[in-house]
Amino acid sequence: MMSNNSHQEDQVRKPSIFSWDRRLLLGFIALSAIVFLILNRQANGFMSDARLYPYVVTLLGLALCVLSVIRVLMGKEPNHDAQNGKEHEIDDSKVKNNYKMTLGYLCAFAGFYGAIVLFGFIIPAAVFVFGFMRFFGQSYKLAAIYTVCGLLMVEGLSRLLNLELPTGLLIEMVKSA
Amino acid sequence: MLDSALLALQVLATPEHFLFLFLGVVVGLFIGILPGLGGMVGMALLMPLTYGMDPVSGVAMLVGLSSVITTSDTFPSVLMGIPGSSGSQATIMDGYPLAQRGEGGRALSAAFICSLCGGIIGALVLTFVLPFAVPVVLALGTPELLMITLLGLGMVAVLSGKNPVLGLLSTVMGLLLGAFGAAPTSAVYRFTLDTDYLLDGVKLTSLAIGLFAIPEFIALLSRGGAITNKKTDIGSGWLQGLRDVLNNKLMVIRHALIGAGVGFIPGLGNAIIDWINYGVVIRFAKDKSQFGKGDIRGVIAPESANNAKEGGALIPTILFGIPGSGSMALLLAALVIMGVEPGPDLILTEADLVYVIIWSIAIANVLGAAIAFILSGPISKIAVIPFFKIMPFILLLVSVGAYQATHHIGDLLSLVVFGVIGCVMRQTGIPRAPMLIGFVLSTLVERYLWQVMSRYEMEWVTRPGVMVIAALMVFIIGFSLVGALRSRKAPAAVVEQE
Repeated sequence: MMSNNSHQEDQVRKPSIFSWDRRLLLGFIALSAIVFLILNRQANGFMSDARLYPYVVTLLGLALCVLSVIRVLMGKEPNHDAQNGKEHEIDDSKVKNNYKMTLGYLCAFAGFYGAIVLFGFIIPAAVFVFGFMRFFGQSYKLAAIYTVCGLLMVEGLSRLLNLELPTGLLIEMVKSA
Repeated sequence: MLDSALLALQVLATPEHFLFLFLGVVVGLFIGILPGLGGMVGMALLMPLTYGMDPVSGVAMLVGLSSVITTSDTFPSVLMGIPGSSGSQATIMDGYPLAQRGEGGRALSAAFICSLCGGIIGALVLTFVLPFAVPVVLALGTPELLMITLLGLGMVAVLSGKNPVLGLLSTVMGLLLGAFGAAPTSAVYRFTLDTDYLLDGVKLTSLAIGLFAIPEFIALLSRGGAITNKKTDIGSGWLQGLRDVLNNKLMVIRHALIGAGVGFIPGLGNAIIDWINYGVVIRFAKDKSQFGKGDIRGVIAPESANNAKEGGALIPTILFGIPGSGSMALLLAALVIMGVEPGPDLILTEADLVYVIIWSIAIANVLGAAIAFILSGPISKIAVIPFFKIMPFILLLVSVGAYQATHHIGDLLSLVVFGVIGCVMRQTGIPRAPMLIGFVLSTLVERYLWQVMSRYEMEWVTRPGVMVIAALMVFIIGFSLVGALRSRKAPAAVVEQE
């Protein structure tokens, strides 16, 4: 029983400084600090009227990055799901799984937008909706219905509100050729 | 004043403008019903459609949306114990127990009527405060306006979450993003990364959708269908709910005024307003024994306040151009896109548009409550639709919306970049609303800063108004920072929605 308890405690424990969320936070702050530094150096080359504001803002940003890193290393920053406001005793393996799912969805969205850039809106939208519904276990028929409804919705709104849809770089190349 | 109000009503009542108001109300009701989305996603969804729109239609649509989210968010709160948005968290405390004992209709009925009354009271507060506040605001000089803007930014940064340092960092990031592109005070292009796309700077729609919509979609998809097993039987008590509101009329008015008053303060989101009012109603109740077990007053107080908040929040947005929340930031940006400059001059030169806003709040609340009443049965079923069935349609809409900014592929690429940033910020507890507000106010801050430095050099610092506001800023922000720095425990972050 004692070993079971300690096993459970290992799994749901107070996070260490190297937990996934803290690593992500530290990485984000570090990246932000680098960006602030680069932009601060660039701001030095602007005319005086255009230099003051970005110079002040980047310096302030750098100071806040340093303060934030100190707080994270002291264990003062939360490392849990901000959406749920959970207590900060958290299971790191769940966080890791959450990261994987988030990354997976982000890659899917990035792929969708990349496809729009190349092929325009309609074809990637159709493929995305169909594939998405199939991924979530819907039948081919239902996925096809969702796809048609989605395309009709977009087409209808774009005509009603005079919206422009992306045409795609490859399509434009073919047309100009 | 009366002439402007009547003219505004006449303009709003035209079929085209009313249709856009109705569209905003319908989308707002839909967004409120789906747990986890919130006002900023709704605003991000509709804001791109305002490109090229006339100001009346655009304003009616966006104000209509933001006014009714806190009406429909009661459905999941009462029926399933899940907050539809951050503005209905406290409603769960007594609304859900009421539904569990078969009186869901009573809770919903009381909530809708209170939402309606609260929204109208908020609109009245806005009506009466604005004309009196204008002379005061016009007496302020540029140095005071700069300090007020910085105070507003600082308050949003430290009050938006329980991490004031990260909130300030997020604000500064937003201020820096706003510096991309053409400088407002000289013919210099900054941080364009040698691309044509960034000559106009970062686009608000890509930033807003990327920061808020994409991370929320992913979070809801990752959470899966946990809510789909809940029942949504409404139960009985619709007339009893009406009687409860009539028996507690003064409470409705009191909490609506508190909601409007607290809504005026930048940075205090719907969640805090909700809980403040829940705490106040318990504090002043003679019999506290039933709170948390289905006391209808625990529904009436927060629901009256969270709809009134819109009227209060619009006061600094319209008067100073300082949005107190992410939703207000998007509304402000949409106004600018439509060629409307918020500020004290707006009330003097475009009084009709200001009254369109006020009438939109009032009419939207009436429409929202009516639709919620009439269609309560079908609407309650929407809340249990698995999110994956709706997400593709919403994603298609936001993608088309983001592209309307400049019709450039950069709009979509920046959407991905900000989507990644938004996901990281959400996961690590860095509040996102301050970044958006910092971005929206960045040009204003730089312009004010340039004006005070070129006109006054450093003498502006010794102006009495500046020193008073600076003292207030140091007190509020310093107090929050010191409190956070001294805190031994890592605090829990609040739900970040508007």
